[in-house]
Formats: sequence, C-alpha cells, structure tokens
Amino acid sequence: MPPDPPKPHLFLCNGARLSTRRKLWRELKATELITDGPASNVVIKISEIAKSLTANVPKRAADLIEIAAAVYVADQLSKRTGRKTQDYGDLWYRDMRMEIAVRDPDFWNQEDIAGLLSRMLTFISGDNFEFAFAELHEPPGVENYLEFGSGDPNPEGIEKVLLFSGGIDSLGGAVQELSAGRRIAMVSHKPAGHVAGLQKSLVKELVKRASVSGNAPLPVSVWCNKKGLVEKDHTQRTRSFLYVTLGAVVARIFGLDAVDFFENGVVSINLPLAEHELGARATRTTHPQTLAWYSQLLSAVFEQKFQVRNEFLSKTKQDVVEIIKHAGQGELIASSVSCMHTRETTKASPHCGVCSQCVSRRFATLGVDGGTLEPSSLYRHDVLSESRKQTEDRIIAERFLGFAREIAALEGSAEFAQRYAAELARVTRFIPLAPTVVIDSVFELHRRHAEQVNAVIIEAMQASAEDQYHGKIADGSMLAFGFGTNGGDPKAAPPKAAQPSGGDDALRPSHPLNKNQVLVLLVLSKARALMTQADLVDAMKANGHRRTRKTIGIALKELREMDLVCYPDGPRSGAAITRGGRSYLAEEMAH
Amino acid sequence: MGHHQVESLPVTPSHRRVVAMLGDGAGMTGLPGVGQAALAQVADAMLTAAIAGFERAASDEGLIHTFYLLTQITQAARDEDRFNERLAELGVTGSAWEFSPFQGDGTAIANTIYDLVGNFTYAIDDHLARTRTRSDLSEIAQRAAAQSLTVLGQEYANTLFGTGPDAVQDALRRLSTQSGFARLTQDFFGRVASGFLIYHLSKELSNHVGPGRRFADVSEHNAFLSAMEAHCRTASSVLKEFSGTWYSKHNFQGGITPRKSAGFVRHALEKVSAALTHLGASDAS
Repeated sequence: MPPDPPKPHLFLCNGARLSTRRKLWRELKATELITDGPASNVVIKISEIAKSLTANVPKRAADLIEIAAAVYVADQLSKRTGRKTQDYGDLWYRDMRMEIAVRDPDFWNQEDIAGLLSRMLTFISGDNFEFAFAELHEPPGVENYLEFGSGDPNPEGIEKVLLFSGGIDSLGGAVQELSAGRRIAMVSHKPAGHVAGLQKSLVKELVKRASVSGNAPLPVSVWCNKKGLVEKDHTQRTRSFLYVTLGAVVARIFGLDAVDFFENGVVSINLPLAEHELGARATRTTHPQTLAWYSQLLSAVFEQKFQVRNEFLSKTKQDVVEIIKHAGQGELIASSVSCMHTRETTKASPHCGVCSQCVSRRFATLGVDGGTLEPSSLYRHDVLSESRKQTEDRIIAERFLGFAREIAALEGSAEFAQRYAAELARVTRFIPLAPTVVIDSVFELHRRHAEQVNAVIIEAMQASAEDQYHGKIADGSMLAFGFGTNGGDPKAAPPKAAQPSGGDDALRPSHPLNKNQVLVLLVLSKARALMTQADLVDAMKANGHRRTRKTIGIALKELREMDLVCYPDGPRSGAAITRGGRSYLAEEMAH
Repeated sequence: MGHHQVESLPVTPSHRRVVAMLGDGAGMTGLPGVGQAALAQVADAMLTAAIAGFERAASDEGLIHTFYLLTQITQAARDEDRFNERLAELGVTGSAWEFSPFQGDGTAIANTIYDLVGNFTYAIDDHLARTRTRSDLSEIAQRAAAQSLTVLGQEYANTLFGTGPDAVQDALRRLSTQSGFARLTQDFFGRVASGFLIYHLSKELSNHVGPGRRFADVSEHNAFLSAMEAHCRTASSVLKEFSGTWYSKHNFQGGITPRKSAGFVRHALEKVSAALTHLGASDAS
C-alpha cells in the first residue's frame, strides 16, 4: 500500500494572519513563531557590534534576519526523514507556507522578491516554499538583535567578513587572510555542546597568534535558538541562509559589500556519492548556484551590489590543509572541528570518524605529512581500518572511494560532463564564465581530489599489507573496500541480508591448489592491471619467488581451467583473477 | 557542511530477494563479479520489488514534462529563423539574470551544448518549482535528459567546445529526424530505467563490497553500475522503431502536446519494463 501523502506545513510569524483562502492551508493547524518580545520563541543574537555602527543597516535587514530565522526554525519543526518505505521523496520535498509580518511588506511581496526567496530556498532545501508578507506593527530595530560589545571594533580597519564555522576550510580562509595582513571579522554561528567550547578555543588561539603582528581578527558570534519548540527534523538545509544573512548584516554594519565563505570546491559543488542521493540530499550550502541566489537577494535587500563569495572553490580539502601548513599554522588543525555528529562530540575525540565530513577531513590530513598534523585519537572510530556497521555509513565510506576511483578513470572533461551532466548544468549557468571553462576547472578540481584520495588509500593499503596477508583487515572498513583482494576478518559478520548463499562454492576447486598456483593467484589479486606471464615472473621475483615463464604458464593454464583466472581481453593482453579466485584465496586465508 | 543524506533499502520480502541475489550473484569470467546473466536477473528482481514506483513514474509530472521538452526543443531546431525564440518560449533560455549582481542579462543564446543543457535543466527546475511536482522520479528523468543531450549533442555537434549557436541548432536538428529522435528516446529511457534501478540498488550495493563479496573492491562496484547502464540501454532499444514513428506521426498531426507525451511515456515505460523482465528471464533459463 502506498504511504499516506505528507501534510504541508504552515507557519505564521510575528503576528501575521493567514491570508489565503485555499482550503489546503485553511484546514491546517499553523505554528506561531515570534522573534521579539516576552512571548518570543525564536531568539536571534549578534554579538560584539558597537551601537554606533547600526546606522549602516537598512530596516529591511531586520526583516531579512527575521525571515531567515523563521525559515531556519520552520525547517527544524517540519519532519521529512525517518520513513522506511519507498516514497520517492514525498516526505523529503516538503510544502511550506510562511506568512510573516515585516516592516516593508510592499518590497517583500513583489513577485520578483518573493519568487526569488522561494526559488533560492527550493534549491537549497529541495522544499516548496511560498511566502506572504503582512505589515508589522511597532517593529523593533535591527539593534534589537545585537549584543553590543564593550569597545569600538574600529570598522574602518575591517576588510573582509568571513563566515567561520570552525572547520578546516574556514580555518584555512582565516589563516590565508591573516597571513596576507588583512584585517577580518570572523562570524561564527554558535554551535551546541562541546563544539561551542572547541570553536571558542580555536578563535581565541587565532586572535592570540594574529595579535603578535597587531592584526587581531574581530570575532562575532551569531546564534538563533528556539524556545519551547521541539525539533522534528535535523537536516537543517536552510541553516546557511540564516548564517549568510547574519554575516551579510555584519558586513553591512562594517560598510562592506561582500561576505566570504571559505569552503573547498569538492564539498561546495558536492556531487552525489550514490545514485539515490538526489536533489538537496547532498547539501548545497555553498554551491555556486546558492551563492548566486544569495548575492541576488542581498543585492535587492541592500539596494546595492552585494556578493557572497567562496574563494576556495578551486581548492580541494587537502589543498586547504596545505595552505594552513605552509602558513606555519599546522598545529591549529587539531583544534578545528568538522564532524556533523555534534551531539556525540567529546573534547578528547570531537570527530566520529564515520560521517562524510570526518572521512573527507581525515583523507585531507593524511595526505599532508601522513596525518601528523592531527592525532588519530581525535577520531572515535578509525576512518580507514574500522568496520562500518550501518549500511548508511558503509555507503558513505565505500562510495567516497568509488567516486575517487571513478573520476580517476575518466579520460577527460568531456566524459566528466556526460557523467555529471545535470549536476554541472546547475553550476555552469551560475558562474560568469564560459561553460566549457567551468567544466574544465571543475573536472580538474575533482581529478586532483581523486588523485589525493587514491594516494592516501594506496599508502594505507601498502602499510597494511601484512594485516591483509594475515586476513586482519576488518570487513566493512575503507581498507577492505580498497584492497580488492582476499583477507578480511572472518569473525566480522556481514549484514545479515548480505550473507552469500553459497553460490561461490561452485567456482571453487575441489582440491587444494599447489604452491605455484597460489602464488600466481596472490600476485594477480594485488595487481591493478592485467598481467602477462613476463609481468608475473618479474612480480614474483621481486617478492623473492623465482619461477620460470613455463612454470607460470602451466599454473595459469590450470587456474584458467578451474575458472580462477581469466583473460578478459584475450590471452595476449594478460590475465586477471576471477571472483572465484578471490573467494578461494579469502577462504584459504580465513582458515 | 558537505553532508550526504543516504539511506538503506526498505525491508520487504521482494527487497530481501534482491539483496540475496546480490549476495550470491554468480559472476562470469571476464569481469569479476559482473556477470551479465546475474546482472540481468538482479535488474529484473529490483524492478519487481519497485514496480509500484515504475508505474508511478508513468504519471510523474517531472518525467512527462522532461520528455515533452525533449520533443519540443528538437522541433524548435527545425525552425531556421526562430530557433532561439522558440527555445525562449519553452523557458529554455539564459535570461534569468535580469538583476544578477554579476551576470548582466545572462546568455540568452546557447553557444555550446553545455549552455543548452544548463538552460534545459533550469527550465525543468522552474517548471517543477512552479507546479510543486518535484519528486525523486523527476530528478531521475532530469538527470537522464541532461546526460542524453550532452552525449548525443557532443557527438552531433562534432566538436566539444565553443561550437557556436549554429552547431547547437544543427545537433538538435539531427535529433529531430525520425531516426535521430528514436536514438534520443532510446538513450533517454535507457538512462531513466538505469537511474531508477540504481536509485534503489545504491541503497544496498555497498554492503557487497570487500574481500569474499560480490564486488572485491570499489572498482568492481563501479563496473557493475556501468554494466547496469548498458543493460538498460539494451532493454530500451525496443523503443527505437516505435518512438521515431510516433514522433513523426504526431508532429504531422497537430503537434506533440503534454498529453500525448504522457501517453508515450506510459507506453515506453511498459515496453522497457517488459524488456527488462524478458532479459532477466532469458538469463535465468
């Protein structure tokens, strides 16, 4: 039976009343959101701003802050995940209507502006948003949301406003700007739990180091909490809208016309890892299209050109780690936090080691100086060697490697453009360069990312060769996904549903193999390409086993007859191990 | 930041059967773990498990509109003088940037296949946002259409980059002949079918990677995905003759409408479904 269609979500903010006659909305129970006064259930604050600076902020900016906060809270109150039946996104693509009382309803109700807001949020979140704006009576000024700092932060000196999340990428941005001698304000969205403390320590350390050269950055904290409202959804795809809004308001307070994200291009474009990861399931926080929409909206609100930029669009995460290291600030990396599982974070081990952010971070740090920039104890689970128990975690880890392997195998940007045509189409249109130039650059970025990821896994595999030989590589670990050969932890049970039903037995020989045959299988199992007899002679010799071509030829022939090796491109091109051959080795190793 | 929302397969008897078939898949020599026979059976089993979704796809607004738009942009290419105007009437244009801070009026004319694919994708996004009809099925269709246009457009435009608007029009014109459209349809529905099947399978395949499993490593998993795409394009070849005839006939009989497109989509999906079942059954026997 098909699942019930999900209900739409209706929010009335700051005293607005339902203005539509449509039955769909009339029949719904609305959730009231209030951002000001004693009854407020949405609390917004920006810290460390001098009162004298608020003159730069137009009244629409206060509207924008309230709209963004209302959207952010509504996002968390509207459930979209958790259904275990196949509904093709019925629950994921939510219908949301927001009626909001604002200072300038004529502006916000313009078709261009309300439409832009909806279109922007649809891209970021995948949801259908519709807005209606009413007049807000006795509105508070923007200063209502500011917690004034004790001193004047000298706005003349601030050259850039950075959105600082406390992860490696934003740390790289801060280090790059401070190293270049620029005075920056770092706007941080205050996270929950231990992460807040860790972020605070990192900011403090950055300020301390930069103060030596008399160029201390100005930290600005922004936060938005809900009071008495229960979170029903944790995906928070609209969080960046609130974050960028608060950052943009801070930038305008300092008289600037831009705000800067620093996020590596691979994460920014965030190509899907698995085929079912459609729409905004791969986050679009700093996607080029998202930034273009933000720029467009903020330019309209501020009535002047305003840009939201990402200076690391052409960088990989490993490139960012290199930037931090070359600036002599490598030891700060261990204090940055990238993990998405913030609730389980501990001070000693802030990273889960399982989520996509942790995987990508660990590969980046391992790629620079073999991971010496951060201790492995920062991760509660070893990224490379520990087994993933949950299917979702396996998909992330396995496809992270599969994606890199796939990109590395592409012949050029034309093939890349075919494979990711729809995803690239959503990028090219929003970057003011010829599409061919954009596609070449995005391909080059991903090719470099793939090379870096593959180099890390190959090095880890080489270092684990002995464990692999003794069958000690944990099933479901990234090492197991990479090896492509026998071994594996015989004690680690595969997911129940995935247990082989014995079909492999038919491929196994009924008698044990001789030593030469086993050696040939072992060498082929480690090969990354087809091997001729001459290749096998050389490989065996390198491992201390001298065999003639004739001996190897006989072994290959016998193995071929048992279906343990094959010649995919004909005998002259070389041999490869079959799945049966791998199973045979795995069984032998297990015993 | 950079989060990926992935999920596992629902636990139903028919999905368990797919999982079991992946677990004991009998690979054939040549490409370890990717036996064509086993793959065809997996495809058939997956289709059976998700048949309600495949049937739902036949009435998915996004899929129907995507196909309709493919019929219209190819027809627009036949209009020598008003090609760009015809595209603009369909919403396949780059003029969304009227108050962009940095892009001026945008690129109203498609100079390369990539411009065309960008504008085409945007037009569908726009339609789905306006009609509130986005679903995973429409995303699969959108992805399939972008890939088909890129692959065939690159080939017909005869060069990859900087071809100019005439070459784009020429490439689309070549897809507007009976045989050209048949090829486009076969490619598109083949990609829709593989996108649909892999959409489901990708919630499980990673459980079958590693020593002693169906796929010894990530490369074999990648090879399986490629083989599945090829398999579905083989299945969609049943559309080749029928689609070209349908396209020519309806273009001469009052033109192709969204309603006619919906009828074609339903019929095409039924044919592809039957072909996948037939291929699976042939291999099983």
